[in-house]
Amino acid sequence: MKEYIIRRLVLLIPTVLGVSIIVFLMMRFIPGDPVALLLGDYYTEEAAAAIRNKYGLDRPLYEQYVIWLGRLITGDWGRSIIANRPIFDDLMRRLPVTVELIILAMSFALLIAIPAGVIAALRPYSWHDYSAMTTALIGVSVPEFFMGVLLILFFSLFWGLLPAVGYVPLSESFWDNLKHMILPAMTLGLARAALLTRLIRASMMEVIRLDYVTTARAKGVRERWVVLKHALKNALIPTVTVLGLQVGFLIGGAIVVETVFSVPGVGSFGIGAIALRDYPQVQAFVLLFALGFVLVNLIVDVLYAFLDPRIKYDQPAS
Amino acid sequence: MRNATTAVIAPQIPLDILAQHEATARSMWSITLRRLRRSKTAMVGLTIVVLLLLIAACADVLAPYSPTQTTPESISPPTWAHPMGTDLLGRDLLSRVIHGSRVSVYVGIVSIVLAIFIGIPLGTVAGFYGGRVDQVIMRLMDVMLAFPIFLLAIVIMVILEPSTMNVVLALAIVRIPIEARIVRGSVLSVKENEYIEAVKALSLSQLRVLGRHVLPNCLAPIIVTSTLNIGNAIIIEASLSFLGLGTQPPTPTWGWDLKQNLTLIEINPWITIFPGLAILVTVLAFNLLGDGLRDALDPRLKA
Repeated sequence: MKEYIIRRLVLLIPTVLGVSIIVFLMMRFIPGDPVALLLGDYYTEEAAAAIRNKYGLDRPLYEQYVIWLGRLITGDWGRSIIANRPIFDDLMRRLPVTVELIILAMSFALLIAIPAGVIAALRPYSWHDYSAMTTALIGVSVPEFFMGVLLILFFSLFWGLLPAVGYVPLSESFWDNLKHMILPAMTLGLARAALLTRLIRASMMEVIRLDYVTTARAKGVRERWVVLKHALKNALIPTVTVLGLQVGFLIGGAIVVETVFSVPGVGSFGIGAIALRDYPQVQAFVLLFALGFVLVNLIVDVLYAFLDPRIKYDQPAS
Repeated sequence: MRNATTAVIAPQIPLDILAQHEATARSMWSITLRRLRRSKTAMVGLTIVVLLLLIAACADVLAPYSPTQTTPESISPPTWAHPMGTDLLGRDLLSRVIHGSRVSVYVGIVSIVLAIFIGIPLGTVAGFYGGRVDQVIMRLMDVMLAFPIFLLAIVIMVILEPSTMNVVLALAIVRIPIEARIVRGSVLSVKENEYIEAVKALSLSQLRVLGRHVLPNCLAPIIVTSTLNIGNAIIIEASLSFLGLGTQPPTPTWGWDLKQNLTLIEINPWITIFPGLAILVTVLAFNLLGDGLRDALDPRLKA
């Protein structure tokens, strides 16, 4: 298994490089001349040439890429055109907010999906099953921003229970932070919960029919133990494989949810940057999210290696 | 092509396997159709989808007002004159929702079709020929898949200026690696099958092998995932519009309308609910249909 993990870590390098190349090229493909934009009314050929020289824009593309990459590694992620602040600091300030949102959303999703999926699988075609599956089907069909709107309507406007917008840092107040994060986390988590419920039910139903479950029952193991230890653990393996993909959806969904609820995370940062055409900020935003996704997939792959014992024994003989 | 010599030398067995396979393929479709018709949820989904296509096609006729016609009755709740209310500029929401279906349906279907038309050849070539070709194509697909789907769509829309056609392009590009992977997987598993060996023994041309025997087997998973993907595509299009990166105003789209009316939510919540409901019902319909298709095509379930 150590070989698997090492192999996986080594694969990380070309992936990260590939992502960085695409993000770098992405900025070069944006229509319009950034130098002309920068100079505006003061555009002259000499000024333009001077600026190009200063920012290294007149050098060949691969040189620019290497320089850019070097700056990234040393923590210089550029300066915002509009605010003229180092982007890295802004990102690091906003990153914990988004991470908290994603963790809360995922926990919420699993908290709902695992019991719902398991119960639906254990009582197939009962009202438990049908109501869970119907709710899940609707949940998968709702776009995140509409879910957010509905939650705001009910929990903020009708019942006045929770605030609709705003954010309080964890360091200031635990409960206030939670109060502001519940609705965004629920919004983000419900769509994932819907999909995971369907998945867990399907894989649980398959596992329960397998021979080793019958063996465990025949051995006289308590039903609850059979379900939890034997069946569920193995039914969760396909869930782990899609976990990486789900976090990808969470990252994408966070962008929308942060916009709806005005959460000061990396997502709303990116959308604001796009609206203002602050392209260095857009680039940093895309890079951060992409790298985060790559990292999460790595963690999920390693986690999967721990869970699925077959991987341990499938190693080629050394 | 077979000539007299090969007809004598080649054994009968490949011909039988071939004939068997073709017969099974034909009856598979009739079984599928029968199962589909029996599933109530699939039929509900299909009905709604057909209705939706009709509404989108006849939007000009069905909508009571023009979607861009402003009136003095702004932010009105549902009334007989305006069953879904009006927005800030007094535009009738029902008409906007009806016309909004055009963008969603168009983007959803065309982007998936485009993804299929590019993804299938890519995946087939990669899977069938293997080796270097496979490596190159799959590396490219993997790099694209290293990005979260929505993020990639946003990036493409930042590079291409927001417009309906560009949204279609963006959604297609985002979907291509996934389709290519599915097809490649199917092709790989089918490649090893007996009847392919049989067909090769009859020295039919490679293209014919691909077209008549390999592809039809990959069709089933593609049909199912494509129908489900149309729903996804509609959600992504609505989300892009919501963020202002999709079809630009004044063309009505469900996502942007919801965003515009969001600031008025305390005054009139209805005008945020209706566009959202439209999206929900549409996507639900495609998902019901897709689920029904998946169950109908599942070889493990008995007819």
